[in-house]
Amino acid sequence: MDVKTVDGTFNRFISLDYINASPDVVPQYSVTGAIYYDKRDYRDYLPYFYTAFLKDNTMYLLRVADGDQILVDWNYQFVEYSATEITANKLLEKKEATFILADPKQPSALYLIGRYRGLGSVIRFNKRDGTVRWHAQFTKMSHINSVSQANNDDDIFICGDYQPNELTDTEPYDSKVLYRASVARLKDDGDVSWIISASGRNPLNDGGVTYNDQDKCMAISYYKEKE
Amino acid sequence: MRCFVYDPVNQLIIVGGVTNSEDFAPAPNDHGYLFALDLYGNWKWGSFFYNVSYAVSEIDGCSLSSDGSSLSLTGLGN
Repeated sequence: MDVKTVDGTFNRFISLDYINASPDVVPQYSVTGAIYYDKRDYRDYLPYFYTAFLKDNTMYLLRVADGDQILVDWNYQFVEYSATEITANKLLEKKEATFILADPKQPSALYLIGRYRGLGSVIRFNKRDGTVRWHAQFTKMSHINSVSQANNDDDIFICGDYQPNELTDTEPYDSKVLYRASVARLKDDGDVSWIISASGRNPLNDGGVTYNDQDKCMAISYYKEKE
Repeated sequence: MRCFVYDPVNQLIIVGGVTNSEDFAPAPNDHGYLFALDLYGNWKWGSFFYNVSYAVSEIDGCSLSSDGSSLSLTGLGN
């Protein structure tokens, strides 16, 4: 969807569904926020939507050409792991496509940010065909909840949370699950300048049950001062 | 709340997400919603969505378009 910010009226409404969907084949979708609308592509000057989502727990990244004829320009399915591999490491099937960000200095690239293989991930890919330039993953960040960039800057700031005991934690997660807030800075070549982890020291106590620290970074904003 | 963005062109704070409250939508099932406030907290525009308008049961994310003139949204229809 694309709406006019001045009054909320719709410019465009596009509905996507699996081409073989039927009353007997009903896909289950999970959408966690990845959307970007490039109104003027650097190569052909045409508008494109970029989005990513899960269908039946498989992640897809695709580009939709927005013109007189709306069509899926390219579409990629992410690698799935076998049941044996997931039994050995249940984090391998944890994934989320949370943000798609422009590179403020390089018009040919975008970032897909979220979670893949159970780890906070930043994937830089080419707009032209979706090919991956690099993939950075964070062993101490489970979810990425917010991102920030400055104009004409190389850096991406991300923040989220780390669930160190996720392999043994039992779903649904309750207040005894341990989370640590995480903040990181990385450059446009995938190099992570730093990552920090933070935890509070005042867990709740309820009827003698000590709850774990549950610290999550939910929002980050980077403002680059004029030099 | 799953969408929160500041529109610097119109100086609006835009918020979106999903509600299943009868106080905000006509029935207690999932409805997507989107509204905008100005910098003084005044309501500028907003709506929930259901099947007689756009079939949007959730708004799950948003970002300003490349030229900042519109807001792109992703969500589910049900």
